[in-house]
Amino acid sequence: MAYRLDAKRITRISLLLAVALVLQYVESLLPYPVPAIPIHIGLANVAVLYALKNEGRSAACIIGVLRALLFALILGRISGLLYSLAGTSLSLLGMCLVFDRKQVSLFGTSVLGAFLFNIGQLIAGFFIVGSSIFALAPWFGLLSVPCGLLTALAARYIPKL
Amino acid sequence: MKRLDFLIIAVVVLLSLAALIPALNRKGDIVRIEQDGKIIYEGGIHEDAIIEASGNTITISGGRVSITAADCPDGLCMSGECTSLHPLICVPNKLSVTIVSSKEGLDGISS
Repeated sequence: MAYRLDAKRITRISLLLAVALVLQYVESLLPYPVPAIPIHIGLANVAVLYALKNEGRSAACIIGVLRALLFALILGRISGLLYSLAGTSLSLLGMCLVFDRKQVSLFGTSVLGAFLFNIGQLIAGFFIVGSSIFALAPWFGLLSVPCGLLTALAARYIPKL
Repeated sequence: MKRLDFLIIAVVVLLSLAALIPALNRKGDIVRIEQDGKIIYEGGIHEDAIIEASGNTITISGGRVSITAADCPDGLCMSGECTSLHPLICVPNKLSVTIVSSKEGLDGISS
């Protein structure tokens, strides 16, 4: 069946984008799961992973990038946009490259996505506060594993729209 | 969970642990406070001091360092303590508080 960006698909993508934004907003209200380490679980990625699985890579990328842009507009924090886009683009790139392979499941893609997102944040952080941000790198890396697994778990067991 | 998943997770964990090695070697007795990329304070961790940076207050007492006041919107830097394994960073104020080893060469103490 050919991939068609028809009205049905666009509607589904828009709904997923809305879900992603809501998830991200709710998560932003919660404290960090690990105190003093600025890592969220990344609930918005559940929508991206779902899209990756059921709507295709372009859909996932659209949702990922638009989520970052729109969320910065919603919160009014344009300054955070650099971090967001750095993390999101690296993460989406990795996930799209890896997702199709037979030996990778949603879990591996998600962990890779989480890890790359955090690397992107570290790099963006470096340009703002300098090399001391890399002291957070091991924690960013280690936490991306449970967070990635959790989001993949959620995305895996949601029935199709 | 498939084969390559485990490889991805293993690589991520290994890279993270590798990044931890330089931190473990540090004895961690000098507190370095940087703002906007410039070092504004360096002092021993056992020298009690209260440092006012623009927008944040950092307190060193009893061998512990923490940020006690911040005017940034999220106030995240105030949760938790700074250890030699992880710094305190206040992004809106471009502030970072790290603990480094005195072996890294201290040319002088500025405050």
